Amino acid sequence: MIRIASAQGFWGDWPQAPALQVRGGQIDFLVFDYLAEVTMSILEKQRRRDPSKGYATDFVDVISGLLPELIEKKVRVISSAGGVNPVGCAKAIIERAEKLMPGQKLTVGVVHGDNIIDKMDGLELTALDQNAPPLADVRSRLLSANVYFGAAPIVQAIKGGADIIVCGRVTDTALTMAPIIEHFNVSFTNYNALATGTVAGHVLECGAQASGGNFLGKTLSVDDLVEIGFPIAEVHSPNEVIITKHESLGGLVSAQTVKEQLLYEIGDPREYLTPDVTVDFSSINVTEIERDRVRIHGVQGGPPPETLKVSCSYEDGFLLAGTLVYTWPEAAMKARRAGELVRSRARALGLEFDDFRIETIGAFACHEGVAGAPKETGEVTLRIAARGRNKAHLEALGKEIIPLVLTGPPGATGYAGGRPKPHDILAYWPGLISRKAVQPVVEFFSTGAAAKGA
Amino acid sequence: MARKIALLALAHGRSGDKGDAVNIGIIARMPEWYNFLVSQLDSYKVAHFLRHMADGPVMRYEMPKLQALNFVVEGALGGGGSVGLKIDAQGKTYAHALLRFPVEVSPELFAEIEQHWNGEIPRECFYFADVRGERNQEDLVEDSEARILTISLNRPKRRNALTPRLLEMLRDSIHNASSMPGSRDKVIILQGEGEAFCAGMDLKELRQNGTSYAAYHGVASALHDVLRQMITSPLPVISAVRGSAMGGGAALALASDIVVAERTAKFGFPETKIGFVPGLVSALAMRRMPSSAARELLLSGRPFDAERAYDLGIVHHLVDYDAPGHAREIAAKMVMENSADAIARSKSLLMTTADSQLLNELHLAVTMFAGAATLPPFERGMRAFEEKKPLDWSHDSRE
Repeated sequence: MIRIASAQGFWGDWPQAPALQVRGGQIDFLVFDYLAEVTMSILEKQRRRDPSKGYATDFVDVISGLLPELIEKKVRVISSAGGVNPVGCAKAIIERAEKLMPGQKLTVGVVHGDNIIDKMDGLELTALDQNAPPLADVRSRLLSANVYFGAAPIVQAIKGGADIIVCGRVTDTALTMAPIIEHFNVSFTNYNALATGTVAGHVLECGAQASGGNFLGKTLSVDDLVEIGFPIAEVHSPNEVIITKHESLGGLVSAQTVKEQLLYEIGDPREYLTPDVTVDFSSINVTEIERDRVRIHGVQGGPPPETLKVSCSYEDGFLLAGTLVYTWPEAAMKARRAGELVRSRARALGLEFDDFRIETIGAFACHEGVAGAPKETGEVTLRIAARGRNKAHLEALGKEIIPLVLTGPPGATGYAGGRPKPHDILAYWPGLISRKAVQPVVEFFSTGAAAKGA
Repeated sequence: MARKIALLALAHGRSGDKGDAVNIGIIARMPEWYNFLVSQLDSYKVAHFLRHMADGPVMRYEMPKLQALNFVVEGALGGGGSVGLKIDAQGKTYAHALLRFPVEVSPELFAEIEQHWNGEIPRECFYFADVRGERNQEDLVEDSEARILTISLNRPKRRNALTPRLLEMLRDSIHNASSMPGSRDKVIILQGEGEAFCAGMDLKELRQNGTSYAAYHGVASALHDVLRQMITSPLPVISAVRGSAMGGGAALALASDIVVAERTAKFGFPETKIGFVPGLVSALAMRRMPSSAARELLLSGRPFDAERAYDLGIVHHLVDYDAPGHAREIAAKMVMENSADAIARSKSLLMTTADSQLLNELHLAVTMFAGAATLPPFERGMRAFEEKKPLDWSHDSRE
């Protein structure tokens, strides 16, 4: 049996979770999912400013803080904290470990080779999104291009004796699936077992979202969220997984919390594609065994696609968003009018945008048009957002929002944040690439030793 | 009888982005409710319900083993991810929006739902009654569905007679539908609960606010504001007349853009019979029907039937029964076939070209009305009304 614990669902997730998972009970692996679609481009920008950066630096801090306990309890770590510089991340961890625990043997495994930004010329990519611009058009503005690898290179890193594994772009599910494959020696043609591992990974990849967080049960019925326990996958045999959490921690693992996460962002459930297996999510059975223990079984899978997914990002103009608060009376109407006022003034200035949006937060900005007319509220936040290629036009728009306080409808406040400024848009370009075109690289770095390749 | 309840009572869910699309997972709270969800939530209905939040199309995937439906809603995020401008750029709240979806449940299913919630179904599940404020259950009932706002005058025991409070609610209701942000109403239907459309001003209540010029002026202004709101609203107003539409009630019908009346409906301007002046309604009658016919009807106070009203051009659809139902059909057709913007602009054009005088006249009529109300004939008429005595004007004189 092995127990794999989720420690982070995204870069910026709850900082307390990793320590609580290590201290709350027995676990074998701690997995950190750091990479959202555009995270790579943010990291790439950091790396361009400083070549030693380009990875999730907080990961190094978290690991250093927990290192003695991880070693003592024999908890291994798998993460996608490497970003566009996994080797840099690994070296930073080694450096820290040597300082904190001199003489302690520690091996960091690195999975990379996913970053193809520098070798794009020789590669053939097919757009995944029909409406996406041709790659050639955005080529000069490309910031990142990473292939999604599956579990195989991570399994290799575990087998190679890594205590901590730092990956570049791998699928989120692979982080959880790899230790299962390694522990039970699952064959890469045992598709049902691979599918089960993938589903376990899908449940864990968003952290507490599977264990009572963001859960719309009987509205706010999850009692203890203060020290919410992140989910743990307990695996006794590779064809079923028990989702649970540390008993000492808060939150809730129920059939409902697990189902909500199972459906999260899956698209066509019958064809959940990964580099290792195609999973049929409609085949999943979920059984609540007891409180905080949910069994996932009967998962069916098939061969993976011929291609691997590539996620690219490119600079695509600028976006500006600013807010102002309007109070009673007629808060919503005044906020709407103020927004229209800015639109008129921007038009008079000849400012041009690719898109312009006025929202009245507090008066159905999120759920537009699904409800009847909103009741008058105490206050409404006006939000003005625009996007375009011309940065100067967006800067000029940014100067039009706060002056509403003195030149628009009465009862405006909440301008302390100052003048909003445009920021770069990093657009996402997903594509497909032949498996043969790219190979993952697995490397190991150890304390007190030079790197050995594999 | 079937009851309307929000999907939230029967299901929970979660959503997130997939490029420009949003993925919405909807899960039955009780496994045995799954089939009901399948029957209620087809991809077309979901696309329609979320049409202001996403362009569609919507794909639905059935997952019976999880008692769940997965929807992929295309064209939702204005480009998606980091490009879109929405505050909810990742579509995280779309599942919650869909859980507002109203479903009709049988009494048996309703009992199951109640049991599931231990008798405490969240009141959000009945938000339809809530959205329009505390007004429902009151003198005015509103129901907004499929872009049609139905406003019902709800004082059936008083033949839907108009009180200052009711007029105020009516004005706000039309105003909100016309210009509140978030309103998706496209057509307004005005109807009366019970036997009558509207018996006009509630004379009993009229005098409770006082009998001074200012008090009458206030009441007249309230009616004026409603009529003006109807004429200037960018939304077409359809009146569904069943039973009588008298005095101020007739004015409501005349200020509408379209009038559907049942054959048995009655119209009339009985003001002079109670020593009163048909103020606001006369301005409308003179502009909306042949003036010579209007003159006769205004001075005689003689009621006339729907057929005559149809001949005079103030009733557009004469139906044998169910005027409200016919009005809804007409409204639904307009929602589908007519551009809201073009209707609004056309109404605005008609107002400038044809109705600018009318608005002035209505304004003047307020003063006329208030002035006449303080004079002895009205006093006499009112007293007779209050004492329920017949009136005989054979020997009166002009003031």
